[in-house]
Amino acid sequence: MNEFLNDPAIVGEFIAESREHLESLEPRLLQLEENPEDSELLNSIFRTFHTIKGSSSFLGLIQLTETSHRLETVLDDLRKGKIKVTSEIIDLLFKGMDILKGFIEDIASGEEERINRICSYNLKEIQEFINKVEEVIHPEGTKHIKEEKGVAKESSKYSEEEKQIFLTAAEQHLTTIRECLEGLEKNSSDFHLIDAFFRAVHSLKSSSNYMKLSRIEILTKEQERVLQKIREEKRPISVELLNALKSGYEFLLQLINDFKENKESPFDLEKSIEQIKKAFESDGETSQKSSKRILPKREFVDKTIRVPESKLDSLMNLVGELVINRSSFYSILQKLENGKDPSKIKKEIKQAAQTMRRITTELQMTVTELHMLPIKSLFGKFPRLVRDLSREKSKKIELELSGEETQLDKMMIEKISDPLVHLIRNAIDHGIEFPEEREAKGKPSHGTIKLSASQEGEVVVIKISDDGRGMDPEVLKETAIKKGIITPERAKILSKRECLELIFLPGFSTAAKVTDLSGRGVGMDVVRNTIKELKGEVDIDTEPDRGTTFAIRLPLTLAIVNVLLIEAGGQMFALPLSSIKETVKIPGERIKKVFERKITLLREEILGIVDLRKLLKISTARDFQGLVPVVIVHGGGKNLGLIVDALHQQEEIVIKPLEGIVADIPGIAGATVLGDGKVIPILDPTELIQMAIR
Amino acid sequence: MKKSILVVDDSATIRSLQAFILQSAGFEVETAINGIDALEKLYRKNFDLVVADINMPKMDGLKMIEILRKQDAYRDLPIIIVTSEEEEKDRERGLKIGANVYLVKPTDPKTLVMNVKMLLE
Repeated sequence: MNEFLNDPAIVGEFIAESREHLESLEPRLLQLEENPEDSELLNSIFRTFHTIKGSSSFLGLIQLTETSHRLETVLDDLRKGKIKVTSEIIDLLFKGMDILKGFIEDIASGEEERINRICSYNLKEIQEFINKVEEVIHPEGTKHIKEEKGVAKESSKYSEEEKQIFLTAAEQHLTTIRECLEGLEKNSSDFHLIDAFFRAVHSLKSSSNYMKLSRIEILTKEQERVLQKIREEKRPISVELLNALKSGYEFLLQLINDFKENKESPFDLEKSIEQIKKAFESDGETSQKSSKRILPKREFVDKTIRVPESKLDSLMNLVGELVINRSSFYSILQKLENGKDPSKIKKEIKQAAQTMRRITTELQMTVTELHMLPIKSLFGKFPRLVRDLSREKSKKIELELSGEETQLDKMMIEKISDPLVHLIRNAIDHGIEFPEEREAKGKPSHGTIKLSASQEGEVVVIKISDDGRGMDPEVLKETAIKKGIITPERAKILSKRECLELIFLPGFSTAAKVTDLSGRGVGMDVVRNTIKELKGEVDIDTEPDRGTTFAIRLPLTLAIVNVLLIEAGGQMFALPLSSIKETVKIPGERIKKVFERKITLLREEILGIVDLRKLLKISTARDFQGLVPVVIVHGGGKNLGLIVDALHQQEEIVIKPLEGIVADIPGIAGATVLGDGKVIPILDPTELIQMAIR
Repeated sequence: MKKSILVVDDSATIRSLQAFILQSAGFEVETAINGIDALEKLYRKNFDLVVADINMPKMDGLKMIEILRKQDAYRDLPIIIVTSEEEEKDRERGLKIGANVYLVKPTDPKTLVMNVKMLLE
C-alpha cells in the first residue's frame, strides 16, 4: 500500500476535496445536458476529473486513477468536438461519477479490504465501465481494451508511418532501459541510472498511451511508479526488484516486438505486474514496516462541517465576554460575603444578570446558526434523481427549485432527505402522466415538479407539488376498503382530508402493480413517521388532473423551542408556539354542546373545542362562565380550541424527551426544566387533536 | 492550455522551420540559439519539452542536457535531440546523458511532431 494512504491528514484532505468536487459535479452534468456546447462548462468538468486523477494517482489508488482518467478522456473528446453530448454520454458520466463516489466512500471507511480493492489492478466492474467508455468514444469499435481469456491483441488506429515513428522511439527507450539495468547490476544505487530508467519508462508510457497500446501503458505505468518511489526514497534497488524489472523489460520487449509484427501477445500481463509489485513490497519491507498499519477507522469518518471564520471569531468573543461576566458575579459574591447590604448592590446584580442574558442569547443564536445549513445542500441532489427516474420511466419531467437558501438545522436536513426522495419518486411514478397521456388531456407533454422551501416564522415549509393526475379521495377510499385497512362503514363518514390521509397508513398503496420506484406499500407511513419525529407535519392538497402538493412543516431547529406556558387543573404545560394559531377569550355561553362535542362559532366558522383538563383526565366536566381562555392549535391540517385555566408567559425552552414508563403518555411530547427548576410537560398538539376526535 | 516547447538550434533556418512545424501542430514555441541561451530561458519560464541540437557554439546540447538532468526540476523534462550526428555511438551517448529521444536530421515534420506528442501524452 502506498505510504501516503497511511497518512490521515493527506487522506482526509483528499477525501474532503474529492467529495466537494463530486458534489459540485452533479449540477454541472445536468447543466451540460441542457447546454452541450458550453465550453466553459466542459472545461470545468474536465478539470474536476483531472484533479481527481492527479491526486488519486499520487496516492496509488489505481482504479480511481483509471476511472477518472477515462472520464477525463471523454470530456477531452467532447471539448475537441470529437464526440457530441448525448443522453448516453451523460448517463455514462453519471455512472462514472457514482463509481468515483463509491471509491471515495470506500477510502473514507478506512477498511483495509475496501481500500486494497481500489489499489488492485483488475476490477471487473471498472473494466466493464471502461469498455463502455471505449465503445462510446470509439463507436466503430476499437476494442483494444477488451481482454478475453488472457489473450489480447494490441491494435489501435495508427498509420504505418506512425507505427514506424513509435517503434523507432520505443527502441531507443528499450535501449536505455537495457543499459540502465546493466548499469544497476554493477551499482544498485546509481541514481543517475535510476533517473534515466525512469525517464525511459515514462517516455514509453506516454508514447504507448498516445498509440493506445494499453498493455504497454499499464506495464510501464507500474514500473514508473516503483522507480519514482525508489528515487524519492533514495535507496538502492534490491536484487529481487532488479530481477523483476528485468523480466518487466523482457515483457516490454516482447509486447513491442509483437506489435511490430502485428502479433497477439498471449502472455499474462497481470503476472508480470504482480511480480514487480511483490518484489517492490518485499524490498520496501524494512523501511515501510512501521507504516504498514492501516488507519484506525475513526480518524476518517468524523464528519466535518465548514464554518465561516467570522462565526468562530464571534463565538470566541462571546466566550471571552462570558468569562468577564463570570468575574463580576464573583466580585458581587465577595461583597456579599464581606457583609455588604444586598439591597445596596441590587443594581450591580441586575446589571450583571442583564449582561449575562445578552451574552447567552447571542451565544445561543450563533451556535444555532452554526448548526444551520441552506437547504440547497439537500435540494441539490434532486435534479439528478428526477432526471434519472424520468428517463427510466420515459416521462418528461422538469424540476423547479426555489427557496434553496432557506436555512434548516443540519440534522433535520439529513433526516428529511429520505422522505423527500420518497415523495418525489411517488410524484414521478404515480403523479406525472406519460407524455401521450398528458397531451391527450390537453396538458403540456412536460410534467413539472416544484420543490420549494420557505421560512414562515418559527417553521420551515417544504412543498413538493406536481401537475400530474392528482388523487381522487373516492378511489383512495375504495382501495383502503379493498385492502381491509378501513371498514365500509367507517369509509362513509370520512372527510376529504381524512381520505387523503389514508395514504399514510401502513400497507396502503394505490399502485396496481408494484414498481421498483415506489408502490411497495411501505414508505408513505415511514414518511409521516419521520416527519413526526422531527416535530413536523405533512399536509396534502390534491385535485384530480391538476396535481398534488405535499406541504411539510418543520420547526427551524429541534434543540430550542419557543413555547407558551398555560395552566390546566393546577398544572403548568408548555405548548409550542409554532402550533398555536391564536389565543382568544370566549364567553362561556357561546360554547355549545353538539353530539357530545363542544363547538363554538369564531368569526363565522365552526371550531371544535375541548377542555384540556378533561382531555388529559385531570378532572371531570365543569361549566364555563365569563370569559374562557382558549388556545387555538393546529396540527395535521385541523384546528382545535383548547380550554385552559390560564395563559402565562412565553419561554424559550430546551426539549428533553421523556424516557421509561412516562415515555408514551398520549398528548405529551416531552418535558423541559424552567429556570426556577420546575419540570413542565410539553404538549403535542397533533396528538391532542387526534385524542379529541376519538 | 497550449503546451510550450523550447527549440534550441544555432541555425536560424532550422529554428524557424522547427518552430513553424510545431506551431502548426498546436504548440507554443520559443527558440534559443545555444545551450547557455536555452538554460537561461528554461530558468525563467516553464517549458513542457525541449527540442535541441547537439553541435552548437558556447555550449553544446549534450552539456546542456547534462546540466539540466542534475537539477531536480529538470530531471524529467522531456528532451528530444535532433542532430546530424548519425553514428550509433553518438545516439548512445545522447540517450545516456539524458535525452528521451534521439532523432537524426533531416527529420520529417511528422516524425518530429509525433515524437513530441508521444512524450507529452
